[in-house]
Amino acid sequence: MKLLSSLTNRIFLASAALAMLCTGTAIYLVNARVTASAEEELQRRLRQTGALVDQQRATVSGLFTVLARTVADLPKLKAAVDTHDPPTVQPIAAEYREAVHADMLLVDDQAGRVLGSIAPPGVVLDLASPLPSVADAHAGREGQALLPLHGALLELISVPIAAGEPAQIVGTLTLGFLLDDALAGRFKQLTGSEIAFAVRGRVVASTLAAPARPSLEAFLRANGRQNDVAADGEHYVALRRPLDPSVGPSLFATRRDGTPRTAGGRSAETEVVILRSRSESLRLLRPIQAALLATGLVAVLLAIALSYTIARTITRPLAAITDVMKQMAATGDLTRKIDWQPSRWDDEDAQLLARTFNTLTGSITRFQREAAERERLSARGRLSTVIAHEVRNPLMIIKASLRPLTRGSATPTEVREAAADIDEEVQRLNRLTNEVLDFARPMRFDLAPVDLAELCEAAATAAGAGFAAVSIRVTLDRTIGLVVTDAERLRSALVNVIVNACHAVTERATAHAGAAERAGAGSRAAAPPPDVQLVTQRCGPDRFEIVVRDGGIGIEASELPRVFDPYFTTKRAGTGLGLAITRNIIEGLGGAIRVTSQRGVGTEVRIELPVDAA
Amino acid sequence: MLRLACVFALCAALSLAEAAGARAPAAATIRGRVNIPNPLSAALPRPGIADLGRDTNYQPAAPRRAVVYLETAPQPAFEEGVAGRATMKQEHETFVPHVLAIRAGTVVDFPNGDPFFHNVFSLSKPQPFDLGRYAKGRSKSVQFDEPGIVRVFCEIHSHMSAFILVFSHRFFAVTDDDGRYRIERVPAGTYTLTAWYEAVAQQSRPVTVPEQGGAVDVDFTLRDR
Repeated sequence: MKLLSSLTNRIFLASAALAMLCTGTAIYLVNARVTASAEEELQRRLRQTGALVDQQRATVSGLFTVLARTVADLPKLKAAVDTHDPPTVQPIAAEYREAVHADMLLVDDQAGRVLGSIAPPGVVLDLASPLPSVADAHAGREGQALLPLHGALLELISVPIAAGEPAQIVGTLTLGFLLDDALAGRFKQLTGSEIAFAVRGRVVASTLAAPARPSLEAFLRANGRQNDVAADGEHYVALRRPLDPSVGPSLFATRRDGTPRTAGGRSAETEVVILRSRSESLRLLRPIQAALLATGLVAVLLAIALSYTIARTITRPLAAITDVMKQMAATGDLTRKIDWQPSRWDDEDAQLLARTFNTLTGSITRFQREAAERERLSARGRLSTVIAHEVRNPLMIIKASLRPLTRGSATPTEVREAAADIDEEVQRLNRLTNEVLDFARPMRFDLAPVDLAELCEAAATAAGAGFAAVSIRVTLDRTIGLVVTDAERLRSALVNVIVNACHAVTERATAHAGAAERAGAGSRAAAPPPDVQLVTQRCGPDRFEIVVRDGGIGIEASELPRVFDPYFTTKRAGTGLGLAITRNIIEGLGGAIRVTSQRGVGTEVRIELPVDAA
Repeated sequence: MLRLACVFALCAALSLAEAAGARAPAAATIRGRVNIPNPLSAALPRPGIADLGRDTNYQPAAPRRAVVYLETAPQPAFEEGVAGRATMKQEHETFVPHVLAIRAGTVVDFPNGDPFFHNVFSLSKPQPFDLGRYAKGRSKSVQFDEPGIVRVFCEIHSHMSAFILVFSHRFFAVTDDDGRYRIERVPAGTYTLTAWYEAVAQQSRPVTVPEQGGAVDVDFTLRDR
């Protein structure tokens, strides 16, 4: 994919993806943990509140039980009950009710006749049938009962009133306290939970507003199949606890002798429901979640910015390098440097690359310069030497020849001789100039079919014209016949090679003669063969060979590689361009020329050419 | 109910007072034995407030006494007016005696024999009284003119109580340690004899005193109501 092909993009995408993955995972985990912890807390608080409500009820029940016992033991109450006279008992009962802060107080005698009763305001007690706890008290036990009223539950505690020794029950005392909205409100203040008291699935008192009660009652009817209540726009978690007095917690659950106390009151299917708002606890989480999200976004943005910046420290130098390389490729100029100032933050390796690149191009530049310089020096040097030599000599001769002419007293013979010398030297100069120009100019070949045998013989004849002591033997392969080539150029190249061979042979003969002379008359060293061979032969289906072999003085091994270099010559005279021009001609005709030689033995020049140079 | 019985006795006595002639008194004695519920048992620690409402087997060491009396009394009984004095002591946090039977008009002294305060009072209709707190050695008295049953309490000690039965005639007796009683010099006639115990149990029997006198034996066995 194109998006991933660039290093910048890859670094950038990888860093950004990594940052987002890490941040996202961390935030998700934290959020999950925080939410789970909030839910745990909710449940814990719920259970705590349930325990608190139970404890509170137990405490209050226990307290009122003790109060009832204490009040029932008061001599004044006993005496009053013993009179069986309601007008006597009622004021005492009212006084005691106020003293203990009970919501209700009831006194009756052992026959069940009510002697004194104070009910909570707005409540009319149905005293026709005996209250269940009172029956227990008449039996000598302490009784507890829960009475559902409209808008409240009335918890009753009944104790017997005993007098005399042995104690005889002369009546009962009942205290009552209300479980109403006010009490629920106090619970809510203590615990922060909503409380509701319910009888047989009907909510009797609660801290919830009236519109919420129907959904609460629906929850109660569902009977444990759900744990959540949705009421009044909020979601609650609910806990139900029974308010059954017969098995409820009591401060005095066992008698002194260890037998468990059982009250006779029947369960009225009353229960307390504790609710905590899950919506509220979730709402409290929102700031945390918002903070987490904000942190996550900031982290991701920072990661993107940072990864982009880091990626740039690599790509800027790389871009500078590649730009320069593109320009090099376009212009062919290998000497360009990277013109770029690295900043402190740019990548070290990229900086190294740029510096090395600059070093490379610097080296290339230097090498190019040196090579050119060397090339110039050698060629120029040689050229200047050659020019100095080959031009000055004729000029000297011309000048020398002109001297008698300028004096004016020259004889006609002297004038004719001088003229001939000057002409000769001018021709030489002309030849030199032509050679130099020939070498300098690109060659244009004039290709035509030519008889190779004829060409070779002509060349041999022309070359051997100046060397009488050298015999040139020509061995021709007549089967070659016509070849397509430039006759004039090939002939001059051959002439050049054969002339070189003749020079070599002559030089060896002279050296031998000198050596023999120095050695004295007694030496019997054989004279070298005084001939040059020229052979033509086929070498391949469409190539032929011309070989010029001589037994001349040979070429030094150290100078052999340089024989084709322009302006390179071992002779005192000559431009040194002959073999260079020859090679240009042969290679221009699609062929190859090779020289092998051994000093003091001889030289062989092989010229290989295609049959059809076109 | 006892109140009613006393009123009835009074009316009956009044009606009989209009009856002509007085019978010749015969020296008849009504005697017998009253068996009371809850036989004596070993003393256990007195139950306190915390034990109220629990079953205890506590029995006080002191023997229980019942009172036997004639509900309907012959007319001369009312004429023999004897105004006496009786004593109900406070001793060891108990009223001694626990049951006092007196004739109307008797003055009862309530001396405090304990080394701490007592506050004797009663709210009973025949004679409500409150003697206030007084310490050892001191005593106060109350005159009981109205017949009826007076229940006496101590304001300070809630377990203390006692009965004073005030009769308008003399035909009553408190049983002794064995439960035996004697009512002396009862004129001949037919009466209703009642045995009363601690406002818990009560039994009535008709009894006939013969003309010639002698002794009439009537035993009661009282059960818990």
